[in-house]
Amino acid sequence: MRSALAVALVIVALTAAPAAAEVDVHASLNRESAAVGETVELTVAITGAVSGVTRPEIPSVEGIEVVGSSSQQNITFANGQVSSINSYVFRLRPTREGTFTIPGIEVQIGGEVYTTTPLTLTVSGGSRRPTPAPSAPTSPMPPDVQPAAPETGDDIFATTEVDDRTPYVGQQVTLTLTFYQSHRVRLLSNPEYTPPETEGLVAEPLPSGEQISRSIDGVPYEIITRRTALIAPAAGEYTIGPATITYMRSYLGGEETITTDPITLEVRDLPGAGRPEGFSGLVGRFHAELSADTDRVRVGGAAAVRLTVTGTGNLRQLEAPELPLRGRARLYQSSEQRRIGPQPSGDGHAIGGSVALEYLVMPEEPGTVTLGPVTLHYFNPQTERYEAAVTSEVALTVLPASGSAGASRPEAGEIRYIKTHELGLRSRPPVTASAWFWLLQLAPVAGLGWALGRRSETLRRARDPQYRRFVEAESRARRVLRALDGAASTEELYDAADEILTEYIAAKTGVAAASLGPEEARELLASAGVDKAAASEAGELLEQLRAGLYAPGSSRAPSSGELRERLSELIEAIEAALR
Amino acid sequence: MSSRAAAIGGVLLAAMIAVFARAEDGPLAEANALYAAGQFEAAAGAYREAMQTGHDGARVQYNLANALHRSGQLGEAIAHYLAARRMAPRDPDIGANLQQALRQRSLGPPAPPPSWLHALWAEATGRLTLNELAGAAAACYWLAMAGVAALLLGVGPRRPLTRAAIAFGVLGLIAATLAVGRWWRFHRTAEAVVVAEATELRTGPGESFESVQTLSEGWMLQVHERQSDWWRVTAEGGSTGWVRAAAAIPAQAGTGKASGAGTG
Repeated sequence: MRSALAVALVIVALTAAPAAAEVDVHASLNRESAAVGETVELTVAITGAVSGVTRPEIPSVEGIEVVGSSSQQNITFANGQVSSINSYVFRLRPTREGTFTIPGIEVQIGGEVYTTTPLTLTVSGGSRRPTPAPSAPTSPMPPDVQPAAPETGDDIFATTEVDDRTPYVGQQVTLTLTFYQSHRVRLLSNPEYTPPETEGLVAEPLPSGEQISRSIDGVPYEIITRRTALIAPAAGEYTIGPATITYMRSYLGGEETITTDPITLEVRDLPGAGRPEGFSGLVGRFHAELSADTDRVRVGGAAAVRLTVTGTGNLRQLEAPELPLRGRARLYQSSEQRRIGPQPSGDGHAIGGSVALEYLVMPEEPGTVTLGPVTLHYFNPQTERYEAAVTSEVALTVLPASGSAGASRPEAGEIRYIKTHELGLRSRPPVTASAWFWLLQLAPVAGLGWALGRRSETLRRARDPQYRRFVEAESRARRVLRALDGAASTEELYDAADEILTEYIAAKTGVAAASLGPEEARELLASAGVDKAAASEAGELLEQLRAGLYAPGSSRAPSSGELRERLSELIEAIEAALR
Repeated sequence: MSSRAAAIGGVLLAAMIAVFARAEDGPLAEANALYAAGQFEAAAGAYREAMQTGHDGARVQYNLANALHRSGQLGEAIAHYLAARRMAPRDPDIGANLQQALRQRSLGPPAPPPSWLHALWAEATGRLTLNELAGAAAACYWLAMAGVAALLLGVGPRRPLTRAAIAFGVLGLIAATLAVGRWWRFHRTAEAVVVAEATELRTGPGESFESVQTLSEGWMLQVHERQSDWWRVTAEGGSTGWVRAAAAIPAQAGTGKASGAGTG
C-alpha cells in the first residue's frame, strides 16, 4: 500500500513536472577514433523530459553504417526532485577510413525540436580484421617478444580490445580477447591462453562467448572470445599488458605463440560537480528496496528488516548504509548476504548482483517504529551523472510485551473450553501408509482387465460366426439335452438326440450339419484331434440313433436314460480334446 | 418397600451414569476435572500421562493445548493446537483457540497468504484430513472404473454411464491432487514450534555458526533435517537455518511432548 502511494506520488510529480522541467539533449561517442570495422557507440541522452519524446534519427553519413540500437529510461526521485533520463544508444560501424562529422541529431520533445552538437569520428587505416590490435604468430619465439605485424592471409591471429579506454574510477571496462583460427589449419591441441597483466586493476573473468564461425575476406575462421571485467580503483593511467596464446600446429614446428598489443587506459576521476553528500563510491546502476518480515512486533520481540540492493557496477564496494530509525527501538545488523558475479547485460555481461543486509529491530515501547527511507547515491557512467536509489519507509506497529499482564495467559472467556465428548481419543495413522490401501486400488484395474477381455470376446463372436458356433456349441447342446426328458415319443427322443449330436459335431468341426453322416463325423472328429474312442463312439451313437429313427424296433437303438448319459459323456470327451 | 426399592434404584442409576460418564471421558476424566478446577499445569501433566497410554487423539491434543495456553506456555500450546487441527481440521474450537494463541505470541498472527491462489490452495488442502481426501479419491476412482467397465460390457445406458465415469474421474483427480497437497504440506515435512523464549536461527548446526535471525516463542517452523541436537528449518517469513532441537517441539500427534507418528 505504502509503495503504491509512493508510486502514485512519483507519477503525480512526473506528470506535473514536464512543463516546467529543464530539458537537455546531449549526444556523445564512446570513443573519438576507431578503425574500419570497429563498433562505436553513439549515445543520445535526454534529461528532464518525461513524456512526449520521439526516438531520435541518426542522420545518414556516408562511410558509417548503423548496425544496432537500444534505449532505456531511468527515472530517479531524490531530494524531492524527480528527474528522468532517456538514453538511446546507436552502434555505428565505419566502413572506410577518414574523418567523419556526424551532424547534429534532432530530437522532438512535446512538439519542440532540440538539436545536439555535431560529433567527429576519426577512422584509421582499414584493417582486414574486425578488431584493432591483431597479432600474428611469432613462432617459435618466446611469448615476451615484440609481436609481429599481422600479415595478410594469416591463418591464426588474436586481437584484444576494451569497450572504453577512458572509463571513470569504479566503472567496469570489458576487455575482449578474440582468437581467430582459419579453417585451413588444424591445431594439435587446444590453444593455451595466458591473461594479460592488469596491475592496479581489479579483474574478474566473464563468461566466455560461444565459439563461432565467420568468414573474413572469404576465408572461414573459428573465433573464440574471452572476456574480463576490469575496474580501476583510482584515477590515472593503467596498462593492460599483452595477452599470449600458445598452440601447436605440428610436432616439427614446436609451440607457437602469438602476443597481443598492450592497451592503455586513461581512468578519469569521478566528477566533483554534483557529488552528493554520503556518496560512497558506487559506480553503475542500482536499485534499493526495504522490507520487513512482519508489520507487528511486541516489546521484547524482534522484527527482521531487510535492505536489498541490486544492480550492476562495483557492488562489492557497497558498505552497509545507515538505516534511519524513528521510535524507541534497538537496531542491529544481523546478517549480510552478497551474491555478486557476472550478470547478463545487453550483448555481454556486467559484474553485478544483489546485496541483502538484514537488521534486527527490537522495540522498547508500544507504539510505532519507522525505518527508512534509505538513499543510496551512485554515479551512473552511462549518463555521467550522480543518481540515487531511494527505498520506501517501513513502519512497524509495536504491541505490549508478551509477558505483560493478560498477554499470554488468557482468561476463561477468552478461549473456548476443553472438550469432553466430541473428537477422537486416539490418532489414526493415514490410510495411505497402509499397503492394503494401495493393494485394494489394484482391484478396479483387475476388474477393468476382465471387462476388456469380455468385450473383446463379445466382439470376436459378433465378427466371426464360425467361432461363435464353435464356442457356444457345448452350452447349446447341453441346454437341448436337458429338454430330452420332455420328449413325447421314442422317435421324437431320437430325433432330438440326433439333432443335438449332429449340430454339436458340425459346430466343433466347422462343417454344415445337414450333410453330416456317422462315418464323416468319425473322420472329422479324428482329424480335429479327438481321440479315436470318442470319435468312434460319436459315429456309433449317430448310427444307432438313425437306426432307431429309420428302423423302429431295431435292437441297436439306445434307451432314453442311456442316450442322455452317452451324449453327455461324449460331449465332455470332445470338449476336453478340443479345448 | 416401594420407597426402599426406589432408593436402591436411584443409587444404581447414579452409579451407572457415573460409570458411563467415566467410560466416555476415559483416561481424561481426571485431567478434565483438574482443568475445571483451574489447576492448568496439573491438568497438562495429566493430559500428557493420557498421551503416554496412546490417547493422543484430537480431543486430548486440544485439551492439553488449552491447559498449556491457560498456564502461559504459548509455544507448546500452539504445537498441540496444530496437532489437533491436523486431525480435526474443521473443528471451530480448535481453529478459534489456535488463532487466539497465534495473536498472543510476540510475532503476532501469521502473515496472510501472498496471493488468492495461495489462500485457495491452503483452504482446499486444510479443510479435509488426508484420510478423508484419500478415501474420497479412492471411492471416485472405483466408481469411475466401474462406469468404464459397465460401458465395456454394454450394461446400462451408454450416455449417463459415460457422463458418470467422466464426472467421477475428474472428482477423483481433484481429490487425489488435494490429498497429495495435504500430504506435502503436513506429512512430508514436520511442523514444529519454538517453545524457548528466544532462540537463534543459525547458519549451521552449532553455537559457533552465525545467527541469521532471533526466533521468539510460538514461531512456527518447517523441519527439513535433524542432525543430533540441531534441526534445519524454514521459519515463518522464509528464513532458513538451524535451531537447537531443545528450543522447539514438533507439532504432531504422539506421546509426551507432541511428537511421534503422523495422523490422518
